Amino acid sequence: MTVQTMVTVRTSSGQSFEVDADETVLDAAIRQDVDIPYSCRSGTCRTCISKVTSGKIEHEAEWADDLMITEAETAQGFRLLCSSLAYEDSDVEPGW
Amino acid sequence: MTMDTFGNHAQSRHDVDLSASLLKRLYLIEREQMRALAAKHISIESWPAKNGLPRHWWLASLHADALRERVLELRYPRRDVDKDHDRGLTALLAELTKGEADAEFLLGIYRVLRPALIAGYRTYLAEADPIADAPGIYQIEHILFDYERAEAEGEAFLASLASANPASVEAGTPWVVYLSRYLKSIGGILGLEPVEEPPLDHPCANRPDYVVPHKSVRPREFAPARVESPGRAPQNHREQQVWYAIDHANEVWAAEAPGGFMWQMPKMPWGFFTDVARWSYDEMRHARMGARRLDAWGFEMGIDYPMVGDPVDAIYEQGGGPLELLALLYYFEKDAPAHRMVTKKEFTAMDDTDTAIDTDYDWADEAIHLKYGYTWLQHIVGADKPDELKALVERAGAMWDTWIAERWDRGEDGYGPFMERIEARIGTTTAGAAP
Repeated sequence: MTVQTMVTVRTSSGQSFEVDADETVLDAAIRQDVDIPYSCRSGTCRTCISKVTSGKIEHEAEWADDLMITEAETAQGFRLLCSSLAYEDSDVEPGW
Repeated sequence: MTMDTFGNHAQSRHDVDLSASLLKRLYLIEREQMRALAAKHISIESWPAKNGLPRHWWLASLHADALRERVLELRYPRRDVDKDHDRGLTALLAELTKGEADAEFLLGIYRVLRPALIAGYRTYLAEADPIADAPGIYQIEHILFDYERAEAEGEAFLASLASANPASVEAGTPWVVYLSRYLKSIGGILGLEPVEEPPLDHPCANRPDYVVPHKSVRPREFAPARVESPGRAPQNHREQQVWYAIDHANEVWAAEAPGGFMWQMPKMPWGFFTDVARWSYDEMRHARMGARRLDAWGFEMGIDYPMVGDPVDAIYEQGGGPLELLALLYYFEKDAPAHRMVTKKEFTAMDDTDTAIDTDYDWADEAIHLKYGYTWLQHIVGADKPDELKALVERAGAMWDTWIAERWDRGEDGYGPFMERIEARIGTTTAGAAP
């Protein structure tokens, strides 16, 4: 699965930002000075865990097995934004 | 002595089985030394030792991990590496924490165990084959390097005790004699020396097992304190700097608590111990960062500002145990990154780059602590019970919130004298300057 175009992500605090193709959602947020808590940037600390309430954001397949998130959480719509790509305009709610 | 088929005598050489058994023994010693140092940390009063011990147990964790890995490389079954240890050695190592006063405990570690361990490593190297056992030799040479560097630090802990109270060190002599005799009774560190009679009749024998106390010990010269954080928000940049540094300096508790886990949770997988050793060492480094800033600004530790382990009090005084304390540690870590992001920017903006850099490194450490906390809470609670894990963390956080609110509401904070000294100290600095 590849990201075709730039998409827009909105946070529950009302901020929105553009995510480029092959750019992680967190990297895009940092680049645009959007406040999403983060720390490790490698999917191990869970600080950037967020619930995707609409749209399509998925973990990068290459690292999916190393992420500190359960299958149940993923099924509930949670994603680690440091290790995720956006495929559609999406809404996210940071927090666990 | 070994021999080849041509009748040539060569130097002594360990075969694989002997190397594995000696290295497994050394692994156990490093592991139990690590656990002993960590477990006793909360009860140590000596401030030089309180500051320095976490580095020593972190190094011991690295040594133990390297030795354990080498044992496994030597065809040793993974399922057996953490069991079936020499019973005499296991019993000796269990004695280490029974050194009661600071001096006894530290003398046991730095005058008995460590010199013998260093000698044991040197004996191993003298008889190890430089080609066949090269990876093992590499590890031990680096371990010895660490010990040689740490030797002066251990002596400094003892010198500090002797300087404060010469009698306390002298009173530790029987303990040194007891442990030394015990060591001889098991054939020395490597178990290769003649075995002597165990010191069963010694006055130091048969002491009860060590139990991790539920209260952080601080030097008696520190003023009594109950909570570490001022009860109001900082009103200017200088107060913000001082408040933050006081909070940092008091992270000693976050080294003491995981140190205790290593003793209180002995059945956890090996990875837990290496993670917790690093976690606790990091927290002591953070505490030293705060103390360094306050020292530079002229604050006297424990006199001008409080030094306490109030999160430990909060959990144990409300009937919690090590699991709740681990959950509380994770609770604080979980919310920290968002805070660090902001404070790093704020300190940078106010030209306090020292604090900004300290914050940045602390934030980096927190990333790995979050992984540790989640991994091991999940291990304890169950990987399929995320809601239970979340509830545990929230319960621990609530225990803290309740406890700290009660201290302030009931006037049990004990902060008045400290606040007067903090404000006076800040008041002596010129406007615009660092405190």
